[in-house]
Amino acid sequence: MSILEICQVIENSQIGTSMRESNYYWMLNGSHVLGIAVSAGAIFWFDLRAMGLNMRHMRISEVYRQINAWMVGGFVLMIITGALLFWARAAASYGNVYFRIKLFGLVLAGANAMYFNYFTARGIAEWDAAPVPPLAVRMAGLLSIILWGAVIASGRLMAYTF
Amino acid sequence: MALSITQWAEASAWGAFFRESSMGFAIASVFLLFGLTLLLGGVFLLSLRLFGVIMRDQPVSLVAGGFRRWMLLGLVVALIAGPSMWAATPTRYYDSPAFWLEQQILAVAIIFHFTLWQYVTTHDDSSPVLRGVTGILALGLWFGVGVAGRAIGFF
Repeated sequence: MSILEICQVIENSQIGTSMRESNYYWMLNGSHVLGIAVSAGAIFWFDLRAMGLNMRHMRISEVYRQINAWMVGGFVLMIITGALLFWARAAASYGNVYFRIKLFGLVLAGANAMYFNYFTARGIAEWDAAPVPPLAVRMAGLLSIILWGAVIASGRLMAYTF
Repeated sequence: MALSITQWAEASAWGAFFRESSMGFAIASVFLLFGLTLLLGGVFLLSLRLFGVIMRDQPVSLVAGGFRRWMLLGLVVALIAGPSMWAATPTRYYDSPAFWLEQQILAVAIIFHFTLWQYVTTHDDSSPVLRGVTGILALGLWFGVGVAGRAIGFF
């Protein structure tokens, strides 16, 4: 069975069909957009601190500690609602170029965050309180903003190319 | 008056550009989402600060000061992109109940943003009750704009 055939089975399943035809489908769609606004919005504010452009008076670790739970919470809402939206339009999404760009962008954004956590952040004691952190930290922030921007843009463009 | 503005926009070069360009409308919707993400992300985090959930040891005015210009940028981007999408097919939106609901909530949200929100986020001596009410109003209004706006595609 090919991936496309699996996607067709998912899309044509009872749950997929009932979600697609439901009068409340738009609410799922709206929740996904709000999940993005909360998680990408919160990530953006952390990225600005990492780039030395905002909240310079606060330690980077403190900004992270304060908003991490909300970044993760919004991300989980976004993933759950995104998976449900995919369920309803799996086959159409699979063949969509913007859907693939979106997934690729998500993987790269995740890799960037993991690299930052496991490598760049090792030396945090040296630049935690610095108003403008070292180049590697600023670049991680900039890359995060670019990748999340690409994820949001491709997610929106998906809807116009179904 | 609303109908004549609608007809003017439909006939304008501005409307024609976003109606006839293959990607113009879609790109405007991407920028609308960028603007909303900046604005809603800021409203969400600052409301959490008003509720005393995050950054409690930082003065409200100091936290809000760093957010203000970015949220304003988000609002300006959204207020350019949104009307551009509307201008493409304004007569379609004229009959949409979700569109009119969004416009009403948006009008209240903008007035709120430059009055009560502006006051509470620039003063550190506001009472916890006032801060709480302001945070709830901000979340309700701006997320209401987002949800009603999303509903336009369906109603």
